[in-house]
Amino acid sequence: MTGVGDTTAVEVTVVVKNKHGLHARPASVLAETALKYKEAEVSIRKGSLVVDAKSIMELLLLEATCGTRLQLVARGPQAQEAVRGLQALFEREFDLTL
Amino acid sequence: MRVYQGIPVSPGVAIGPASILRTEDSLPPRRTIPAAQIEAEIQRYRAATSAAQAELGHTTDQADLPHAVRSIAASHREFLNDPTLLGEIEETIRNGRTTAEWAVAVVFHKWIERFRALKDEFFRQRHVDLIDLRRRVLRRLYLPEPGEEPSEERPAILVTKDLTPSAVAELKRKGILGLASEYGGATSHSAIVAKSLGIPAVFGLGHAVSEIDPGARVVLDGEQGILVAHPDGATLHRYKELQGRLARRTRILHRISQLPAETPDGWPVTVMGNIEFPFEVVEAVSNGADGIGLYRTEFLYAGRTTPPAEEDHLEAYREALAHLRGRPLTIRTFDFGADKFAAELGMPAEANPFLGCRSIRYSFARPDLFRTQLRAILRASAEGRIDLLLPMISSVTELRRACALLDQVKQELHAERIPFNPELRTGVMMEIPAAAVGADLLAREVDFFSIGTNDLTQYTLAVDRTNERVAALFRPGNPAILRLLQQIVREGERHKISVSMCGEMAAETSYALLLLGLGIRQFSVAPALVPQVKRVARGVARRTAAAIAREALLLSTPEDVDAYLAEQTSRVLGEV
Repeated sequence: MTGVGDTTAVEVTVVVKNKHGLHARPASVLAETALKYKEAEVSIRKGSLVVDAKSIMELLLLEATCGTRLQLVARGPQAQEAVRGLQALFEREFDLTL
Repeated sequence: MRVYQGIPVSPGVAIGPASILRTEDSLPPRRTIPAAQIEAEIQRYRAATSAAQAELGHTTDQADLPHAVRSIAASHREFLNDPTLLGEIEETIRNGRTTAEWAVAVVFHKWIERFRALKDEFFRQRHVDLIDLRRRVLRRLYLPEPGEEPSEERPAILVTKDLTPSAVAELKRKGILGLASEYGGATSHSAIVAKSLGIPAVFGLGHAVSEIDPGARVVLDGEQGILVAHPDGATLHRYKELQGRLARRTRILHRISQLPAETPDGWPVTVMGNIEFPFEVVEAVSNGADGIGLYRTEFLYAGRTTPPAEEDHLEAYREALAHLRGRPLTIRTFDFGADKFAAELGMPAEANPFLGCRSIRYSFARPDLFRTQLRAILRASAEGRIDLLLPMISSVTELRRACALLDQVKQELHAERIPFNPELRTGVMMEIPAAAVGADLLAREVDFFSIGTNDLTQYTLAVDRTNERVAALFRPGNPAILRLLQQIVREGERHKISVSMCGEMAAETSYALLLLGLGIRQFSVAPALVPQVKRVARGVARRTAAAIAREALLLSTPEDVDAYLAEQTSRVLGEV
């Protein structure tokens, strides 16, 4: 899932604030946004489970309900940018009016 | 060359490329592809997902659809964009050298199981989306490539897993040379509809269907129930010849079907059709039938869990009348039991169902069902030419009982001021030996006889023709049967009532000739056989047929009778 690139990893903790958790709609917004960072590999960790943030299906496997704490991890030239952008998404509850 | 044996459903020979139609629920077999084909297979897969996305995009774009529907379609589109999913599928094709279908099926399966294992209900439910999505992508892969679908320009033999009756009926007739199916039997509703399309059909081929490559040359022999894939030269030649012969025969028969069935010496013969569903009247009429000599109404029960109401009966009878456009319709009351609808009706199992409470006996035991049917038949009689036929009558007592009930129902309708034909003609099936032997007694009290040769032969010879151990004894040409037939015809003539036959005996040309010779002038056969019987009537002078019948009656064994009839038939009618 996560490849080998620039080995410097940028990590930050995020919290799922959406009432219904990280379900299909927010997961798709997250994945779509993550895909924009072509020069970064982005993964999300929950406990021992690590998934690719660019894959909706993998994100759904996190079963990240409301209040779940997750580790957002990025590697590569755009790592910093990716983490900033995606962390902000979590804060804004993925811009979804639910 | 591979030869597969299936169940014959509709006769004829078709030769052409196979067009494979798979339903999206059938999971594909694993098939390995050559290395050179990998890129093409990946392209196929990508094209299928693009097409699926376009389909979904179409849904999301429709403003008048409910929001929920559109957002589901939107999320499915995104699933299809998922790099992990796509990557895994492509990798499977590349490294596993499998077909796109199989890669899609196996990767989706893995994801479906993963989601099914999730603890949170909401997230677990996503597996349902994936099942739906898999179906959608497989459907795009399963569609014959443009140019592979049967069409007028490129006719093909359709090969499929299963055919629901509505699917068969909707098939564009142009370009489909034949039908081959994995499932299905000869008497299923799909089979009836396939037959009515008039093209060769073979069902029950089993897994053979999945071994046929799209576009492979295939021969379908509907008479024998055989499918040959990649026929060799000799086989192909043989089938092409057979096809030619059959085509000539069909042309001749079709021409004859439109002509009246009159013998060369001026004796008019009526040839009608036997049906189980009103829509079959269409085929009967287009084959030249002069009417319907037997409408097996027990099939009103097909696919039902509750008995048909009076209006259901009436609707069916009206539909049949509409297709008949003035031609007569003989409605036989319910002939339930033994092999027909016993389970649906909750009839108790009997030790000897053929000798048990079936048919008219069951109708007497269920006056609720019987009266409803009689009411509907009487009401329909006001709207067209209808005759009433009572099955399995074994004595005058039963006949009178049925007629008494009929009278009661007539009085009811009269009191309710509902119109019916008071002169409704009533007849009995001559199928029980007692009825045949006592034909003089019944002839006095009915308007017509209809000979049910199948059951008459079974009961008289004490043979169950579905029992392979004794089926060879089932010979309608048995001298005893000939004598019974002669008796029935004689008593009919003496009492000036019409005698028709509705069993399958006339399906055999030599027997049709014999029956004509015995004096039968009204035949009712399966719609597809109407032209054949007309051909016999038009081809044999009644005098000649009568002489042949007289000779046949002098013979002492079934084998002698059959041999004699075969010889005479080819002498008089020639080979077709």
